[in-house]
Amino acid sequence: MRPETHPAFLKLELAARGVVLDPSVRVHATSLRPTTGADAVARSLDLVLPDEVWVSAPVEERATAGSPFRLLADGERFFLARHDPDGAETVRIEVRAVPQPRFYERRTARGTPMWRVAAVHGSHLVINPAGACGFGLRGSPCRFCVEGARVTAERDAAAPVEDVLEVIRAAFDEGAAEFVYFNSGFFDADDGGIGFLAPYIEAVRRHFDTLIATQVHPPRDNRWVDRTYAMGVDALSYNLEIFDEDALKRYCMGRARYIGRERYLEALAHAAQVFPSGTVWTDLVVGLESSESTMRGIDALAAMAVVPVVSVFRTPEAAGPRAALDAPEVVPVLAHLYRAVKERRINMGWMRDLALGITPLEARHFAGDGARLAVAVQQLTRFRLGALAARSLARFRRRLRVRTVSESFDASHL
Amino acid sequence: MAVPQPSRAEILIDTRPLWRILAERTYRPIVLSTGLAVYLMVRTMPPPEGLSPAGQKALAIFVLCLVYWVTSVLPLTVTSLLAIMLLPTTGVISAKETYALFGNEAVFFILGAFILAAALIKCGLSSRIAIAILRRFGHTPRTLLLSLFLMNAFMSFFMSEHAVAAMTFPITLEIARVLRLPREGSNYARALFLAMAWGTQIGGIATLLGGGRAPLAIGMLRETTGQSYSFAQWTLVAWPIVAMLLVAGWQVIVRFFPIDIDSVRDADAVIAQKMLRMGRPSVREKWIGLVMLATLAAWIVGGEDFGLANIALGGVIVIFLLRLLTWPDIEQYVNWGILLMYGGAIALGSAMTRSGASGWIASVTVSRWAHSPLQVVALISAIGILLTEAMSHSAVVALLMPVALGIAQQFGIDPRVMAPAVALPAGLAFTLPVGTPGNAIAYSSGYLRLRDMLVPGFVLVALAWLAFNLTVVYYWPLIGLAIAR
Repeated sequence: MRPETHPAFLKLELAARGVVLDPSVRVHATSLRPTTGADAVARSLDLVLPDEVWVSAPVEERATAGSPFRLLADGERFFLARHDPDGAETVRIEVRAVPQPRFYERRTARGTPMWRVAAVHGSHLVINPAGACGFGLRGSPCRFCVEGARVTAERDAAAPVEDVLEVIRAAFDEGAAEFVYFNSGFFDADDGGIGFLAPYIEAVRRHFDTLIATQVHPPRDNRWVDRTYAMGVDALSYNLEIFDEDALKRYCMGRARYIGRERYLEALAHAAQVFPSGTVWTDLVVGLESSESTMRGIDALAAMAVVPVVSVFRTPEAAGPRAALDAPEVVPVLAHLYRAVKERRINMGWMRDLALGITPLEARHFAGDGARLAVAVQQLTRFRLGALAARSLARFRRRLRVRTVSESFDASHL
Repeated sequence: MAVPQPSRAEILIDTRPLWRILAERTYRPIVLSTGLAVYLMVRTMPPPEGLSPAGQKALAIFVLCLVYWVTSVLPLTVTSLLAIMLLPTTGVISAKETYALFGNEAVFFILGAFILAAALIKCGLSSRIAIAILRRFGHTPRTLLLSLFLMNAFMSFFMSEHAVAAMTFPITLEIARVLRLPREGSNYARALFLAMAWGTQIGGIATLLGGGRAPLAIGMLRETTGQSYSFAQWTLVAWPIVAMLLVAGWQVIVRFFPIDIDSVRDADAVIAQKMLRMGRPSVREKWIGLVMLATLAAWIVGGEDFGLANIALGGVIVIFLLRLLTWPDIEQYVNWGILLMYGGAIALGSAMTRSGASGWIASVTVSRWAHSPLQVVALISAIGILLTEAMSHSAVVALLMPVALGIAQQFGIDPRVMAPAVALPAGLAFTLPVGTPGNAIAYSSGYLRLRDMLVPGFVLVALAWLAFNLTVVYYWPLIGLAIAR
């Protein structure tokens, strides 16, 4: 496979430069899945590249000007074509364009449009019941974040648990998502927002056999990290976004001011000891700090057994990082990402189907490693039996690891 | 739809390697299944030569109880109840005989001793005695330590060593606190808590009142051979070992933990304050003390004629006649479970001997390793003293006594020798907190590390075994307890 046809390379390029929709695709416009929901970054389309690599590619004209990529349709099949500056087609590969979930058109029993409750990204059903970013409320959202920039009047009220369950049922019934991914913008509580999500997580645990990922802010006390695992969260992120302290202050004022970089790192380190290997992650947005700094961040996180996920596209219009994002510059960072995680023997199989970030296993292409075993294990979890085994093992591990204090006293025979 | 809030119970995440947690969690079902499998295997194997069918069944029950007693996967009491249930249902002995064994004199002697000890503790007389001894003798670091050591030993002559440890622990802790002894690195603190734990252990073997081991061993001896010990005879058998161990224990403590403080004036003041707060002895204390003394005298003088259990129950009845105690008081202090445990152990031991299973075990184990009566006693005492470091004292007696009686028969050893040969070493646990509640209580103070108990404890265990065997060889023949008949 030529380097420019590696799915991870294509993902990087597509994420950065977008894809132009050919007129042949326009006839499918209503059935394709535009990224939507409360945390939509920009109008984009989810594509599945070879090796099950998901990418969310911007499709709006202002974001795709100059893109060498064109999405074409031939009947029900879709092809991604790349053209050189002369207009000659250099690459053409078949891709899967993900259709828009049918539940987006439906409403819950309470009359709430389902698309407002949850959005599908990759194989994850992303739910943000709070519907608001706490940093945005305090006037200090991350500069590259559209959600944080929304005005207060646009914010949604907290979604009722019943609505969330109804939407998850609808999404699972039509096979639009495999996992549930909760997001909370709350931060100004001891629990870092997990207490707000707890009723939702417990309800999902009781009604569905699925894995739950959660992205919240670090709690003030590590005991909340333990409780997060105990309540049934399978994967956890405290998103640092930027490793360099100055850049963090510049681009993520809320994170730097109200929580602080060190607290993010402490909480991540503790979580990595509690959660299974490879299930604690943080995004690092490439392009907002120097490549060297991102690589230092990758090393520091991997040393704590935290999985760095390189995020390549948050809307660039606000902060202007797009100009800094140049694929040849990012390639060494991604190669380093794979090598660092591999060297620390962190499980790479859990992070998959992320349309908005490049996982360490996807980054193997940049390091020239096949990672056959890790890929094979991850492939297994895509089958029904493998997925069942993964869920069962996660539950079993939790039963072994989690103890209440009263159990400990009983065990001590005091 | 109501969604329950997450539990706010304190959560602990066990971050040890998963295989270790798994091993710990699956330990109980594995041991329970192993016990059952071994039971079925022994039941169904072709009968070994020299073992009757009833003996084979008794052996299977014994092996099952052995696994469960040693591993403590079930409470000791429940394992005993299991034995009681299996003996008649498998036809080893009839139900009538089984339950009759449960009414053994030893069980009622222990019950009486527990109730008398409860009276001592409840009225505060035991605390008064402890405080008085410390007040009288403990004015320097050395005398305070020695009086604590001897006081614990002395009190364990008259009441259960576990009760003594529980009673003197708060006093010891307070002494350590007022002397401002650091939790780490204080020799004097370590010496104090070891003196507390070891004093009760050593004193506990001196009489039949220090714990249930001796009455249990005597009960099993009586059921099997009809022979017994009086209160005074037992003390006569045990006292040289107690004397040697008191000297050895003191030496080990002060050599391993040389005294590193100059004054105990603060502790002295606290003890004086406690004494002052207690005031004069109450009428109830005086009466209970009197009843206790009378009971002791009766045990010594008339134990053989009237029976130890009868005298103990007589003392209890007098206490209630004088309204010195109420029944709810008793319920707080008496360990009813241990009574059930003893009943089951006596029934199993008797069934083992009657069916010939204990003789058969003896013929295939100790009989092959030991070639003279002296070697047998040395081996039995070594096994007992090692097992008791990690096992309940009573469980050790329950396991070893039937086998020891079988061995005695084969080697022509006086079976009476086997009761102290099993029960005395089984009371000497010095190395591990799990060996006995006294050690566990001392360890829970936080002043002792495991190493502080392990190394000096091992030295004392070796000295104890030596002292025991010297007593067996040189002293017991002098009081008419010859190994060989």
